[in-house]
Amino acid sequence: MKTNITLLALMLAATATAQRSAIAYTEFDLDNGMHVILHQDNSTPIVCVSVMYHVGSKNEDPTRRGFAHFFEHLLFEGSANIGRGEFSKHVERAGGVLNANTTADRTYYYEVLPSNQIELGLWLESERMLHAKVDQKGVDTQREVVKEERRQRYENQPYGTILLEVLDRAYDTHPYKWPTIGFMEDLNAASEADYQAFYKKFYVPNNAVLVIAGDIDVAQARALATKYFKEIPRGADVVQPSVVEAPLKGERRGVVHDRIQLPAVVLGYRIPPTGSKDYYAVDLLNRLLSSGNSSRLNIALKDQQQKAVATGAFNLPFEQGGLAILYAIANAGVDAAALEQAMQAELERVKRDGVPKDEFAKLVAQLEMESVQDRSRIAGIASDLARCHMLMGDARLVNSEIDRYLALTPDDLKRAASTYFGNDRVALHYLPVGAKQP
Amino acid sequence: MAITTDYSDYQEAGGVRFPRTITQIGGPSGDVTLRVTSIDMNTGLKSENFVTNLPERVVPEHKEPIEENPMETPPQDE
Amino acid sequence: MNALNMKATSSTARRAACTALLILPLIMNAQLDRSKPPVPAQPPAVHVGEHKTFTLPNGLRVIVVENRKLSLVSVQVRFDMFPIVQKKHANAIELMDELLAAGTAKHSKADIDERIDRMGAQLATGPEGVYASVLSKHLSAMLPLFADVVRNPAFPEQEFQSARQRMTSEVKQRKDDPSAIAEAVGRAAIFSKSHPYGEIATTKSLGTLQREQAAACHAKFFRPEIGYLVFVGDINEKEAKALAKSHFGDWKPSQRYVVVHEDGTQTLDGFGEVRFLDKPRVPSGPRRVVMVDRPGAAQSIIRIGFPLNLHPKDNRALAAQVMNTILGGGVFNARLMQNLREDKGWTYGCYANLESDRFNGYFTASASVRTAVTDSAVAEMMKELERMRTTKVTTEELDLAKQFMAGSFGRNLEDPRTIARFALNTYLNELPKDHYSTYLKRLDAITSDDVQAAAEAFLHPDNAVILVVGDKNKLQARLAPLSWNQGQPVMELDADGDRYVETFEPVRDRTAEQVIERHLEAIGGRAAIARIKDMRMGLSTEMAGTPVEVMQWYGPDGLFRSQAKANGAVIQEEIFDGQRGLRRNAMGTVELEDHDLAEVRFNGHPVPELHYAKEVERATLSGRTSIDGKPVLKVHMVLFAGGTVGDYFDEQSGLKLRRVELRSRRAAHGDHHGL
Repeated sequence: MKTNITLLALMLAATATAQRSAIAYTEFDLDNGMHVILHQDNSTPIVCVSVMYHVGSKNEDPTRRGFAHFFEHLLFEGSANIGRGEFSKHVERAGGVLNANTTADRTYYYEVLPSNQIELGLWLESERMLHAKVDQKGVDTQREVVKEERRQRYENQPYGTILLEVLDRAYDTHPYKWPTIGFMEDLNAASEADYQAFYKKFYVPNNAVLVIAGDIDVAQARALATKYFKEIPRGADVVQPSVVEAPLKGERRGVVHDRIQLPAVVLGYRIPPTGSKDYYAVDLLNRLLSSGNSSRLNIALKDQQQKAVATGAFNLPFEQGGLAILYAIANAGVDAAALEQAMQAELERVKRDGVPKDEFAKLVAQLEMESVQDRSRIAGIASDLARCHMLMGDARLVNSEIDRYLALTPDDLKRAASTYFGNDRVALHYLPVGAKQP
Repeated sequence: MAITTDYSDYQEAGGVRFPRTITQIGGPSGDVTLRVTSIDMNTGLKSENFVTNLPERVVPEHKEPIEENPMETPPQDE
Repeated sequence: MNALNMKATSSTARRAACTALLILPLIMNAQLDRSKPPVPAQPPAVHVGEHKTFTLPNGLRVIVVENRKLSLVSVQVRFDMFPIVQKKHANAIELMDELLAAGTAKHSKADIDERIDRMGAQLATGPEGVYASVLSKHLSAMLPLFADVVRNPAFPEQEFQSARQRMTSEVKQRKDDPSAIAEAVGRAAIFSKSHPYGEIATTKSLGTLQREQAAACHAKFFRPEIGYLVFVGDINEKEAKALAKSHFGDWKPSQRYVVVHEDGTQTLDGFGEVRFLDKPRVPSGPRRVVMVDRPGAAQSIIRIGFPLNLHPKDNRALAAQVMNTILGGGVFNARLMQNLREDKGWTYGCYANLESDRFNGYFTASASVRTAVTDSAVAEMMKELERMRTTKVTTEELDLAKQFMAGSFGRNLEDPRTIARFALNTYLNELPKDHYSTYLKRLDAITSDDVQAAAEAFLHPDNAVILVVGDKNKLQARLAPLSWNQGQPVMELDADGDRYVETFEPVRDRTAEQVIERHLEAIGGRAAIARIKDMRMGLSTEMAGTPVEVMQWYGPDGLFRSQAKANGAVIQEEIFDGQRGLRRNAMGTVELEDHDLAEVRFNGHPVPELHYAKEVERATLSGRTSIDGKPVLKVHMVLFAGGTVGDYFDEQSGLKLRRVELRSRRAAHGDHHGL
């Protein structure tokens, strides 16, 4: 029985990319330095127009934490030609959707429209880049909106502060120390000069990539992109922060009291930058631990020992070196120390015994499935193209990133576990308010 | 109707400690925080200081029985 | 060109090419006018794809949507189930769901998990069926396992125990999860806990569950003659037929009956008593406020809702959706979002959701807002509901909503599963065959009159339940005026949707009198207090931005007088002469009656606690609870004059930290500045 499974799994690994056709795209630069990527897929009459700017919370002034995300909100307020509140109206009455999101490394804006409205998307995004306009009412309102966003997502959620607590302990000097949502006192302190400077510095074509994907004609889309964006003047080169964070020496252990019923254990480990070989190794390691019902933390902590109701392991994909975060939420009656011990035992097992070939093949099978599913939405393809170009330096990775996973071996995982999941880490126990520390 | 009053910052005056900050929520004036600014004791107040001059009652006071209204629940399935 | 383009219909490709030829020269020559949005090209045709269907001899209906774009197949089994009131066994069906993939006669849970993960597949179970997604190359290996999970779950005892434990932990977690509370209690408040959609699992209901009940649910509801098997993706009708036949063809309906007893009750063999929903709940009862307390919460979650009798085949259903879109559904330009977020900055998002449902529809409007604006936010939301009913929507709003909905319809077709969903909905809801192919045409025809008619028919602000999960102390009184429920303007519920009962750790080594006595000692002792013959106290506060100075006189024998001044002028005066009292302000002079009189008698002393014996009929020590993490003792008092008072004393210092007075509504209009 076991032999059969191994053979099947090995076969899977061998044919991993066989079922997936490549994403074809065209890319070029405008004279002002803006990069443009076009992907044609006429199967559904929709088009996604998106712009990614290479600015996130790591580019913030340390006294303006949260500014990049706040600014993202402000950039829906309008432009020289678009009044307050009109931006979204243009999109919605054209039958489209729009949104944006901000991370530590980049800010991403997009519209998905019926394909006859491609030009509308380009007009809106070029207006946003050329001469965005925000009035005082917009600033005051969005500041309150962001405060409510913070309360909703972080403060009024059980375990909602995990990310904030981990980041703060995981970094000392790097701007990754603060969360993208930022701090409200910093946003209160922001002034007109801050908005002007931030816009001028980061919202320039040479710091942006435009992606047009979907039911387009490549030649037409190319002409339209040029038409709307060529007049936007190039800005000064954007220099990304060069803070070098010293290695985390030792363990940073803490207890966080939260309004929760069940304790949780959170472990945070520094990992290499996105795109590096070991980044993928750690990512695969996370999958080994927590992806699917038969993953190690699930089997050990949930099914066998019944110590946890939920487990997880994931990478924070930061371009200057992020974190792997492992967590488990205790089953009723299980204390945090016992839970941590059980998690630690699983980490030690990988370090000691490595990963059997057939189990490794399972990870490959999951990756393969994911890589096919990632192609099911044009909006997903667009953001992936932008990410590969901007944060990894090469749009081709949209097709070849999976090869970096496939190049890994079970030994790479074992080595990554020993290298990265060591004693230099953040270890947090989330305990119910009022609970005593053992 | 619930009125919640919180007392804090107890400080002594004339040998007795009084709360100096009183926060009331749900009272008739909405949410208010009262701060005690002065306390004077035994200044010789007399009943003359508390005259209401209300007219004599003609009709005997009708006392309604007051009790907590039974809680109403969302309607149940018929 | 990539391979995917080959899949484009030839007409799409031709159209794209023609457009390009026409537009290119224009781009080259035209001067860019940025002041206006560009004029769009002709809208693309939206085509709802085909599905194939056939029925197996055992009654299982198979739906197939072929789409070769990705080498992916999704498989779903869905049963046409009727909702049942599970009563004290709430969540037996959810337990069945938890256990479906937890072992079959052939495979253990670990075995199923391992096999699914090795294919990189996804398998998800639900109370009404099972869903899986897999690369097409693994489909034939996955399907036997899928069929086994659907047909032969074994409900192993050990897995049952651990599933119940896990569900119990989740129920416990809900107590500290405001969103989960809003969801569960919101359903209970809208439908009632004795409705299938309003039932809430509790640690108690989970405790009574038996594995046999999960098995009984499976036998009763997972049957081929009420089942649909749906294939979508890299598969054609012929392949689907072969797979369906070989894995579901020999599936015989099991025998499991509901017995109707003489007294009208029904029992399901192996399950116990069940009740089927006989008719949908409709909006009823006065507008009311329900609260779940979250002391010190950063935000309140507001959920306003009511049940609806709105079947998807109701010909007003589409107008109702357009109405809901304008009010708060999906678009950023909806009224609720624009008002509460973009104008007021009170929330990150405010949404309305109107669900048509063949058994019981419902409406909800929700937002998370900061505590200070909670009552204002509820009032604005109610106002928007009312406005939808009373005034016609503008052409601009109507057009935006219709365009947006048409756009969403087109976007959703990107996912081939949408076509399968349409087919399934058509069967389950008995929709006309052309329901979806005529969707855009019907949408286009909707007028502002239709929208208003839908608002009148399906928005019921007067019967709404307003649920607020937030800080009760700060909100209760402010929300009360929004309730039309005379007796109990704000009803407090716990996280299980039951009437809230304050819980205490029992304290047996002291009496209420001793706790009050300890407070008197802590502030200086009876002797020191007795030395206060009279007292004058000045207080300052602020009302609506204006500083207010209050002077209080405490005379001998409980005489009391107070005067409030703003800007140098007396704005209010109160006098109590030992028998009767009055209040004088801009509205005139009124005699204090009932509770107001009792209140001044009770509080009109420098240290009211010294005089409790005169006013308090009964005092009991409720026990130990906490305020802001500090252990406190609560003394519960029933007053001779009616009403109750709860005093909370710091266990450590003995000092009183809080008083909660419960008064009838009538008396609440009185004003007082007594301590």
